[in-house]
Amino acid sequence: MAGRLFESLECWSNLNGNRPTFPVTLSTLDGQRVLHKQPMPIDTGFAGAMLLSREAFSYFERAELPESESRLYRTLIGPVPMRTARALLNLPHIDEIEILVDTPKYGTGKSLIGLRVLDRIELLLSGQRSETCLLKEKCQGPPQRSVSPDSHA
Amino acid sequence: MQVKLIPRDLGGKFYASQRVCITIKAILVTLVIRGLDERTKRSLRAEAIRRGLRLAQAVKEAFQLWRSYDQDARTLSERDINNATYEALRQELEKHTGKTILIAGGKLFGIYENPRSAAMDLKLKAPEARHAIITAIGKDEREELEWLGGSLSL
Repeated sequence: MAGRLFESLECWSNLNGNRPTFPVTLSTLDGQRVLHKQPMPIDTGFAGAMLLSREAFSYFERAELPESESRLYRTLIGPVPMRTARALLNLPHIDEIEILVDTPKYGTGKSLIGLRVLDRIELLLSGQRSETCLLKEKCQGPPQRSVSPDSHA
Repeated sequence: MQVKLIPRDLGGKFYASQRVCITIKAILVTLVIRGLDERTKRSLRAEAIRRGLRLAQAVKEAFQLWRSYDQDARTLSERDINNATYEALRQELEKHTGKTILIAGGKLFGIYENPRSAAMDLKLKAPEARHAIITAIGKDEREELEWLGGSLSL
């Protein structure tokens, strides 16, 4: 896998200078847009798709999973039960995808992007430039053979 | 505190016009509240008199005000009802593995091919619903995932 080439499609400055972020557009299943190109922090330690604040989650309550099927997160301080709902996610340069969003059953929550979204994209977290870039793998043609002058003789 | 509801009277009114017939039924009940302290009772009665209200009207107004401050209360109760409905129908719903079901207003709205068609149907048939359950039977199951330290403070 080494030696692959990528080109960056778009880059965004990190939030507060150090927090990698990515703009997301989030809609309800019936098409109501809730967030539009909202910079959202990335958390590679969060295994779900997206965590939302309680306020943002309230827009998705019309497509919630039953409580018995909502997610549970294992953390260092014990399990955190969630409320889980369906949402439509639009990322730059990526087709719309259906995801499950969570908010803590207790507490106000916060907004972040987790691994289940990152699994679907190629991302560069550039520490030195303090920016996050969406990447696309460059198609590489077959390796070019060097042509020796003798071969045409 | 124990609350006992005693049905007292069933009132009914009938309004008719050329085009529309509306029937409104009001169920009036006597509410007995056990364990309410004397001071609160006196205070409630005094406040009702001061405002020129009957005790029942004062309690109703106070309750409506209480609910208006707690926006989440209505959602929670709708949510509780929808979840109770889902649990009650759970075994029955297992027959529809692979399909998506929609529960709103405490009843099963329908069975659909996918979550999006369920959401569109909800938008058409119950736009006023604040909460609904949309789940793919046999596919949506409780997951236990990991959340490492980074953003853990709630």
